[in-house]
Amino acid sequence: MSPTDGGERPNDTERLRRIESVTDAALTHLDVQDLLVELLERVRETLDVDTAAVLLVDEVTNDLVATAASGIEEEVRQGVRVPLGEGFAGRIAAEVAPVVIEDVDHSEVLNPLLRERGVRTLVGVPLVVASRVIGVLHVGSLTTRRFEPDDVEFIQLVGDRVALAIQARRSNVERTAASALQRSLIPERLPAIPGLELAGRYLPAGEGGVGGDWYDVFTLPSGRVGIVMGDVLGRGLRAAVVMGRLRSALRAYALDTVEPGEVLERLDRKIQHFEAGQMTTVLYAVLDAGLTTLQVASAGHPLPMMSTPGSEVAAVVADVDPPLGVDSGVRRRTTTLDVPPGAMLALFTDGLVERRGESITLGLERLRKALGAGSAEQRCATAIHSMLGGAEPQDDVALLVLRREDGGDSPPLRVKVPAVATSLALIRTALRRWLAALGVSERVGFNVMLGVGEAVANAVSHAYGPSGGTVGVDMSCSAGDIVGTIRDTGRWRLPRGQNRGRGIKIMEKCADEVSVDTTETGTVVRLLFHIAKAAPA
Amino acid sequence: MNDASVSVHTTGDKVHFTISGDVDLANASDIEAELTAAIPNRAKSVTLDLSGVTYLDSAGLQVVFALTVKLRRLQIDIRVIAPEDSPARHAIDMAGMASIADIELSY
Repeated sequence: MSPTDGGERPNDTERLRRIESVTDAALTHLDVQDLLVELLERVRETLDVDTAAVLLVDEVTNDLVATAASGIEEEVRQGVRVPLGEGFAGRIAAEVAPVVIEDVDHSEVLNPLLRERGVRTLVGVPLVVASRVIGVLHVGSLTTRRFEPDDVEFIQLVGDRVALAIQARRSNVERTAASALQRSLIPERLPAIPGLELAGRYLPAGEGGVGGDWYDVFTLPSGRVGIVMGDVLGRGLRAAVVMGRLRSALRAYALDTVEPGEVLERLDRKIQHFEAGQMTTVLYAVLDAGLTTLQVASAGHPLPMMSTPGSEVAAVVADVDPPLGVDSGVRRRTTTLDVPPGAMLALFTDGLVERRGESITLGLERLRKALGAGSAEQRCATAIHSMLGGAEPQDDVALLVLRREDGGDSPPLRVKVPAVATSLALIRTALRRWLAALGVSERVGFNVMLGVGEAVANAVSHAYGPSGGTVGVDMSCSAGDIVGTIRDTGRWRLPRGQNRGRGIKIMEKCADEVSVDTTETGTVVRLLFHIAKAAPA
Repeated sequence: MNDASVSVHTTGDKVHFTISGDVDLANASDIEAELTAAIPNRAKSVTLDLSGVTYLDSAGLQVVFALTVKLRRLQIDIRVIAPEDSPARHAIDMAGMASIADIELSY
């Protein structure tokens, strides 16, 4: 390969050949990285130069980073970086104009590879998208030569093509990443919580990419249920990333702190320190293990709608404090609400009730009417249909509907746990919810809790040897009686120690009828409790 | 998980325990150890406040019973607070312990 000495202006046929070499239809089938390498190779051949490279601006550090190269491939492998505004490449990016250096003064070139290779002549053009420099393309020759305006124009043509390809890839990558992230953060399946129906919807905005709406439902070790609805201001990948961080942080604080206002206060401190300037609205609520009371705190978020049997759907009456991330310095307040059996709660983001050219009051009224009747799933579906119809949402939309089951539809409870002492708490949590859904008196509740608890504790203590086993608890309710069946597959040994037999005495006191059947295959304890009148004390 | 907690408040020769949360087979012996460790020899009276206990089973009752017996032998007065309609009082009644253990039930 012998470098031409330039000087001769290429004729029109030659110009056309050059343009064809870099606009070849075959290039459209390459992915972006291969396209860059192929274009750079063709530029090298066409202009008969020794090196060609593309450097892109790293938006975080503001450095130019070598991304593709031909003739100096090690530039990419070594991840060469040049600060914006410095050196040859930095100058092109800063001036947003082609730069030609015919006789390179190596003090001017910061890239050590170009210096080592002994590049004599350099031409570079900026890569511009929407009047923003996203990088630089430069070619170099090991011998001193002249580049004509046509050559520079050709390089700029290639640069424009490269810029468009990169931009297309970036926005595609960003959109895909944001929506993948968003999808991964919205619970695919809501947790199964006995006594509570749950239904949720998240619909990303039609245009402009996904936003930062999220919702979350989780159970806490105490048996309480955490419920979150949040909206990170902004959209796209950044909003989705911040949303992901807040979701995890909130879950972590919820493990340590019960009161929703305090959880939000901690989250606020976290945002102000680590995500400064990021405004976010969040509604955080906690249902107690029996699903009977709800504690709510709102940081600038629309209050949920609620209904109880025999009452209309209405917005919850609770305190609303400022959004997170605005350094309000307020003490965040928590409001406590009763949740009777059959109560419904709907949490949402403003995207559901706001419509361009319509007052939000109208939107809220429409939502109120749509939430009127049915299971949580039916109400959720009706509300989405009535609020959006077939239209693509203009903003992100999230809706979460919870409904506490009432006695009439309380299904039997079936739990199977390892026969270890720590399982007792799990059984109690399930029992408390089941009893709360039945709506039995406190006295009956005490009797069932203690009677079943003793039967399970007996299986844990006496049924199995060191190899362990399981205990099953089945609870059902019909015709005014609660029947509990506690099954193990071990063989009870005789009670030992000081506490002997007290458990069985307590079971007999708590329940109206007790039977204990021990067979070869295990022991079945059956306890019957009358709901109407309390067991004799 | 069991979230029972014990807090101790000692004034002179009086020790006041406040227990809250669920007490069962899983944590009864830990709670017993916590209680006995916090009673100094010079103590003259111990109060066991069970008002905040949300569940008490026979293993938990055993702790209360054993502590009562032990303290009586050491001539330390013990008073158990288990209000009417509280889960702890319910368990004590069901076990027939109010009379057997001669526990003074206060409000």
